[in-house]
Amino acid sequence: MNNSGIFTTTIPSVTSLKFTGDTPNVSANFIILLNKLIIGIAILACSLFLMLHSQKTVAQSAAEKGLQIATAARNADRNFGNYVAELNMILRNRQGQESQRTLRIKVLEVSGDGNKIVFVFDNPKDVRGTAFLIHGHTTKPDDQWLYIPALKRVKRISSSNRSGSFMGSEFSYEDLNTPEIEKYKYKYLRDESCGNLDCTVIEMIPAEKGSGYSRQIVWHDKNEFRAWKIEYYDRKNAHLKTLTYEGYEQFQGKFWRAAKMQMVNHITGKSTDLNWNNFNFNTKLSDRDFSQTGLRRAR
Amino acid sequence: MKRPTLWKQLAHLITAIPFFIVGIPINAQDISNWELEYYGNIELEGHFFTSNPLHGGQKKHSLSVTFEPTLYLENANGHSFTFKPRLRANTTGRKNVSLDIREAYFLTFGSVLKNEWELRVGIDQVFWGTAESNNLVNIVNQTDFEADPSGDTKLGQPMIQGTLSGEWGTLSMFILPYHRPRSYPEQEGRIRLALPIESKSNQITYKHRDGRHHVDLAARYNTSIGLLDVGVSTFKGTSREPFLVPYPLDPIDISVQPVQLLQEYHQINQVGLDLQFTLDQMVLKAEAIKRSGFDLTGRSVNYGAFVLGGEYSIYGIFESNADLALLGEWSQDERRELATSPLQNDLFWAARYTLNDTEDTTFTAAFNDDLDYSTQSVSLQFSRRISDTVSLEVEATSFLKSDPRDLASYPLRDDDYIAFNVSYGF
Repeated sequence: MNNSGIFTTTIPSVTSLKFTGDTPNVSANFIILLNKLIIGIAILACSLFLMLHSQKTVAQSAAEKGLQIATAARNADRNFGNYVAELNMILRNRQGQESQRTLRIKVLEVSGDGNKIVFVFDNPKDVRGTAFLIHGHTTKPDDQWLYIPALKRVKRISSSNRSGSFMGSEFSYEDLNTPEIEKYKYKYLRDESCGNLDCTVIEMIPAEKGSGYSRQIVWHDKNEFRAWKIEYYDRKNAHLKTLTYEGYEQFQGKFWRAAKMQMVNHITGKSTDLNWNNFNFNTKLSDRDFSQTGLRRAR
Repeated sequence: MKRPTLWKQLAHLITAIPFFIVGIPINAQDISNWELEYYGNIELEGHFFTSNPLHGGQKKHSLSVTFEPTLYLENANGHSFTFKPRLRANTTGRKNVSLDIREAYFLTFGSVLKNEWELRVGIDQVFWGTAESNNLVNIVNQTDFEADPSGDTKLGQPMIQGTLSGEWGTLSMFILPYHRPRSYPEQEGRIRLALPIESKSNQITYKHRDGRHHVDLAARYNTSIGLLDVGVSTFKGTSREPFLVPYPLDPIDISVQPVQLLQEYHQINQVGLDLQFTLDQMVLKAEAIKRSGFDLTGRSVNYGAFVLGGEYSIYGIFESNADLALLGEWSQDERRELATSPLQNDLFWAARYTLNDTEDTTFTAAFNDDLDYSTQSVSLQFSRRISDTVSLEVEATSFLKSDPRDLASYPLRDDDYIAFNVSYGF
């Protein structure tokens, strides 16, 4: 044990002072007093040090444990290679009126950097064929391009609008992207049961500027590190949105994907359901499908 | 001259290659292995003018219907054929109905070493450039002014397009074996010059003996250096912009009044540069060309032109979901008063307000200010989705000030209009 180690090495040096050879009687009282004082100071210093140190360790372990959980969750989803899926979005306003979006998503894992993602829109018809390409990065802002089929134009767009709404939904661009470890600071909060599972609760604080959030609170189950719930707090620290995951299914015997994700906005009363269908891992996708030239072919 | 013939033969030979590549599976496999997609849209568009027409033969208002289906065929290897014709019927014009093949191309692609290649053969559309108000470098496709006075709508261009890209950038090479003359509003149409421009193909003349069969060549290299995107392009061949010749014109008898303008196509060379610097909220854009072409008098001239500007976005303005983008662009053409472009020294200002709502509601206000002449125009646009399949666009344009010395804009002085466009997608 670290703490007791320091304690045991400190005490002998103090006690050895007490029994240091023969000392004249005149100064015996003084020496005893001095020894008592030294012992007192030493004990005080040790306990103070111990107190501070243990406090520091607790603080460190909350950040470390948070990072540990986030890293475990991120690592559980590594080496998937690539996948495609279909996405059906249901946008609901406060009155419960619904509108739908359908799109397809292609994801390519990049070793040592963020994922590459292409969204291709099928519905509504006026945005049919519009494609959106993201090159995610771990340590710098992402690169983004938009392909407008009517003009056959590929436009590079700024990735700074991370808090903007994705297709009028309650999801922002930042919610859709894979959260890269390097882009957040973490804090372990507590353990809590979520449904039938044991979950950890961690806090994620965005490190990059331009985030729409002051913090996110994420519930991961302890078995598979799947996210079950995320609470989003806006920059004024008001509880803005809650995302819940349902119907997890495992692919390739390893990778978990939720069939349904629901985002509820507590301030506007609007919500968006993301229904995922036809996951297909290990496809023929390669780098060329995620280039600007490939974006013109995306469909 | 043997060279054009050789080029033509080569062009025909290369055209045949994808037919073989794509054609083999048709014979070898069941056609049901091909994935077929069919979709498209129908648009109803109307232009309503506030003033009576100024020029002879013009109808006051116009209405048009456009049918644009797309047929897409893809085999298991990703090789594909796209067919996208556009049928347009309008109330102005003698022909009333026009057909354009916007796209009809074979597409095949693959990888070689660490690079990817792509080959497109057939009729296609290509966009080059970064600016919003003036795309100087964009030269591959011909402009369809008859369908769209903004110049954003282009005609299909027959081409062989080979692209190679890798970490080092993207290089595209084009062989363009056929020239499409520019389309203009007919005599009955508004937003045109005082004299109508003849579009009958037997009235169109070419300076080069190969005429419309002259094989044009073009290439573009583009790459990204951090936040900066750079494109360098070149074009050699028949100009997309015609020199307009008054007809009839008798240099001796000045009492002969021209009644129309004829299109005459010259050979040109162009090099282009386009830049975009994508910062957080600010995007800086520039395009520049150097062209050996002609001026308003038809004289051969080497000139430069540029457009410079930026777009500044305020995301989530007024604590809402909405974004506001402010745009400013300055165009200048070295030929100035002899420029064939109306943007010889002009400022363009615009504000785009995007609600980011379920209906994708967008408001745009744009203002054009000519720095050489007292010509100004303003345009307001509104677009919104009505349902999953129907969307609406409304535009109002007013020519606030018109300078008689500004030959390109003065004839439009009475053409203030309100336009609507309803689009149905299937």
